[in-house]
Amino acid sequence: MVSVFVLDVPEFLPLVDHAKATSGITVRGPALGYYRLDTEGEIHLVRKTLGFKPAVWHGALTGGLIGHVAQFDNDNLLITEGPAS
Amino acid sequence: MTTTPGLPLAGVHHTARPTWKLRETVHFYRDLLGLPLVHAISARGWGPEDHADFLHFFFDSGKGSTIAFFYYIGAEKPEFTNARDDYRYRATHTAWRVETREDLLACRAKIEAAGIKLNYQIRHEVIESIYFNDPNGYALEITWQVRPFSPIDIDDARRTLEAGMALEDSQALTCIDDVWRSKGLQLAAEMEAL
Repeated sequence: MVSVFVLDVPEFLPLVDHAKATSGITVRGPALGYYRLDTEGEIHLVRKTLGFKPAVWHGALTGGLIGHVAQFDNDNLLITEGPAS
Repeated sequence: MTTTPGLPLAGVHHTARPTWKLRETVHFYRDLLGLPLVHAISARGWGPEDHADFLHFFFDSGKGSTIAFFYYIGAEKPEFTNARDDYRYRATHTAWRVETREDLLACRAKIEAAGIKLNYQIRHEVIESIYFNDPNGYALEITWQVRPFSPIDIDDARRTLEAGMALEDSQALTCIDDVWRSKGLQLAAEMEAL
């Protein structure tokens, strides 16, 4: 399973809204100040879809992660199950 | 968690750096940016070291804060003060606050109208900033904070730094993913216990 923890602050909420609208991703919370995004598959995010400027985009996982960052460039982020999950 | 009483601080009085370009520095801060020159000391070098005679002067940067410079008379410019085009050099910088985005944009307009090269305008998580350099190559930033820091920010900062320090202690901090995974595992455990 892949989990992403998103800080419950305005600048990261587009990530939560996107997850809620994406089938296969369960959104829970907020608890302890974080939303928890879970999926049995992988999570693929596209920066422009979220409306994130580059600085926020590159810190989008700052809340925490269970999984493996398979790709993280200026526009695409792919999180898969990994050894730490 | 242990806490210690905070120091009774009331904000920044001054930050100070050496300058090797006296006239250009005064022109830049006083004339181009419009920061009033509010204090200057001219003194014989003193103290335990072989200290050069110097000018020490302060420009008002708002709400009681100043930015200050030392101009050392006859002292050589050591290599370690050379400006470098490197993010690790630019990490040392001064960031001034403005209250609104309109003020930030007004600063940008004034800076560009003065012929100062603007390096970037960047929207970060809770601030939006413009970046430029002074005549010595020192990095300057003017920033507008979009929202106040919240208890959520404070708790998250603690989690992030605790993860980073623990990983550093065990020499396991190889990339930022290590911090993200450490925080994730800790949060998952705490959420399970709720």
